[in-house]
Amino acid sequence: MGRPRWPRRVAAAVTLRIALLNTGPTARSRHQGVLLGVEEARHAAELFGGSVALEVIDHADAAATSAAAIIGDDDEGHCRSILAAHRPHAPLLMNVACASDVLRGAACSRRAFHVAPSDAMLRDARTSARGATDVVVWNSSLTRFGADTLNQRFRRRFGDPMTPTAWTAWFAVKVLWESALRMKSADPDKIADYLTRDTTRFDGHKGQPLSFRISDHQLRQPVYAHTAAGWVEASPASSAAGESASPTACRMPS
Amino acid sequence: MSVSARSTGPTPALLGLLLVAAAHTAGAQAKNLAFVSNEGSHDVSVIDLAKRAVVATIRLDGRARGIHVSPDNRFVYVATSDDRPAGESSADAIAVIDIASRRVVATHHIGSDPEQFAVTPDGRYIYASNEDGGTATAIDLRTGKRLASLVVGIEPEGVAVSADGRWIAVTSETSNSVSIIDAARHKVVDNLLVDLRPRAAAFSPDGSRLYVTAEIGGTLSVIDGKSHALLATVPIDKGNGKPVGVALSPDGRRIHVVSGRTGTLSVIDAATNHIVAVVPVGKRPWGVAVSHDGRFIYTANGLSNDVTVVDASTNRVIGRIPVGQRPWGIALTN
Repeated sequence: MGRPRWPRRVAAAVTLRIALLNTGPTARSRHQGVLLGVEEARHAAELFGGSVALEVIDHADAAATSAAAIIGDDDEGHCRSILAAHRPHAPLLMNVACASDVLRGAACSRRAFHVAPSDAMLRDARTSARGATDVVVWNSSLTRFGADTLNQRFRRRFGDPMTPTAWTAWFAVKVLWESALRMKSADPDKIADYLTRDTTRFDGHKGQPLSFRISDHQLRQPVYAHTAAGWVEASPASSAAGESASPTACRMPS
Repeated sequence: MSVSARSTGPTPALLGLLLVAAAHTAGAQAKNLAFVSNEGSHDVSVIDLAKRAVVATIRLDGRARGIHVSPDNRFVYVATSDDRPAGESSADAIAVIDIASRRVVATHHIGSDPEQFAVTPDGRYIYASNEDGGTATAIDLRTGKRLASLVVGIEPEGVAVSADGRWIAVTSETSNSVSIIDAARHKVVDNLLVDLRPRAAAFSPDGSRLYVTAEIGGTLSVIDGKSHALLATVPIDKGNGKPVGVALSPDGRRIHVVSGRTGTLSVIDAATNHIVAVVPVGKRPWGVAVSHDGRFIYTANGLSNDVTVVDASTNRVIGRIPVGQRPWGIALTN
């Protein structure tokens, strides 16, 4: 039991700048998810002070953005080139659409945080949910743990169901805003520091606290398998396992 | 801000005359009753606490969740809504049940999807959370008029009022926040961050503390009632409990928290914030209330469709009362 250091109000108002890489086959869904996340963050900013700015960029603009974080696209090559850029206070990459295990392994980065489930997680879920025809990170028919209110909020806003990449994009913005608010700073280094603490948790309307694994920055979360019984929750071993039980090829560069 | 309001039923004046006539006979009957809102069966179970049995069931138009008894013991207020959170429907209302006749005598439409609310100690105002609107709405119960619609956090949920009626606290699930409203000015005066997915809130009887459960955080936040500073965060069931309902003993010395996942009632010493007992009560308890003499604790168990009676002196279960489908909240007469 302790006395948390969460702010009641942000003394020096935080201005969080987010860039969205708006390319690739899931661009529309990701854009919608980011918009809902930004609108909700702005609502919270009315209570606590601060502001949230969103810029929509092409891959060519990624190297020059002054945003604290880039919401990535489906292209693994784009993710790698964003992470290859080295400069002080370079933006974080919130990976919301690439499942590649390599991004969490040999090509891992201190600046990359993976909201999208990895290929390994999806494989695990398919194995554990026998007969599964599909495995996703989110579905618009989910109802438990407040999922219904989030799905309704999304549908009311856009007239579309909340797709898996809409959820990952929405959640990435939620993570960034909450981190900036609790750290009283939109500096990407400070946000990364907050995301890699043992005690940092987030609520993604999935019924359990979600956190990034420190060894490879993968979000530990349940996914959902479509079976004869409908959508059922599956907690992949590669997501839920603790640090020691999770062998990884990732060697975080210092 | 919208100030329109829709209230149905007798005019306030006529309602007053009807109730004055009924008040004398109702007074004795209204003692020692519990009212349980049943989300699944869309009704309210009336429990005679002396008999520990349901003596009546009152049908409602929508799923029943938040529930409170008026300070004068004459009415029960129940938040009802339809099964679609988005958009307002005719089922989205605060239903007013006359305890004497056990009938719905009025409804107040106060925005979409009302879930939890609080009645001020003078019985004059209701503050309700509008989950999909990001607002809290205040209405005048005498006129049915909507006085204010205040921006709070995202997915507002729990509402509590201090015993002196000065402060209203509104929790918001998605923004992990608590908004403090100055009731005299109908204005949000402070906001603070708490743990993940805050649900219910309750002030201590002396107003010195505000307690807020965090369902996903698995904790109880202890907040200074005057400065509104966060003082402590208490893990419930080692952080695994998914706590929802919270109620104080009349003397303020014990905090009672029910946890949906573990099906338990946690009893906390308010002086030390230490858990002194954990009592298995039923499946998915969300509602909790303490008798006005402090002798009994009642939990509404959503998946076992019953109310559990706990002896507060021994922290042991001494009875179970079957109620309707998916009981959500419980409120007692004085």
